[in-house]
Amino acid sequence: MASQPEALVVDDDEDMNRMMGAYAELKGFTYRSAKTGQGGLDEVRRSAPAMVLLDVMLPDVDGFEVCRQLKSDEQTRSVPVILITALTDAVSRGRGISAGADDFITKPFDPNRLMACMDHHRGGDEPKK
Amino acid sequence: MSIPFPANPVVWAAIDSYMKRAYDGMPPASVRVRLDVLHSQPPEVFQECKVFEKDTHLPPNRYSLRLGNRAYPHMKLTIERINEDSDFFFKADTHDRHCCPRPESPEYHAFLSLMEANEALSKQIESEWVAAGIPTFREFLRDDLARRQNATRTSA
Repeated sequence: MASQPEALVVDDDEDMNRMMGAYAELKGFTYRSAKTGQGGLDEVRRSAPAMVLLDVMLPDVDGFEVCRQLKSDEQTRSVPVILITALTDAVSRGRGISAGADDFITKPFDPNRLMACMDHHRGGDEPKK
Repeated sequence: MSIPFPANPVVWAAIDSYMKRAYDGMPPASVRVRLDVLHSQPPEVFQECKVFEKDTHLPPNRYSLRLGNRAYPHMKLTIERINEDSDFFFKADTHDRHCCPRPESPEYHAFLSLMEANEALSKQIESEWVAAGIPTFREFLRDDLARRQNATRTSA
């Protein structure tokens, strides 16, 4: 039997991290969490998840930079990265696109949109271990 | 049809609750001026008041009022919605993540402590709002998740 895909949620807001993880579980993912940008990078490099839900505003390395590093690394670039941001302006969106983000969710988000996004990106390439 | 902006008494109840938690005594003059301007705004165009910082969406999906707190002047009370079909939610927005110094900065650890204090204050304020029936996004998500999890358990 195939194991469940993993979703890594990177958000320093523990409450929000857990809730996004709970939505991922409803979509059949197992949930892992990290609270910092560096922690998120370490987690992906330790074992690549099927998807990363990545908050932009983190207390150390911001989400744009985390995304850029993941997408510039041969070992992690195929992992879909969904940026979670309260920023809606075009410049911020452009930064996310430049960093290689696969999708964006704007806070406050529609849970249906979040779950549809998880469905959409779960069919991506198998991440490299 | 677009969901209307929250009624003025709800907004004022949220502001009063925020101010009681954010300050021990008198807030700074800049905050008092903002609240005076808001008090003088005609109720029928309340949300158009210039003290609200609005996003660029038309009509706006986010209205922020910079009220600060005793240690950090940039914290905001934000009234925002997912889209035009969604209700508005109240948020005590710490508004500090974007200016956190890099970890190698000598100011980093002091700023982390400030962010923790802001976060704790935000949670206190939002808990009081929830108890008073003032809608928050966090509570909306909790309810939505509980509903979906119950539906999953029932169908299993």
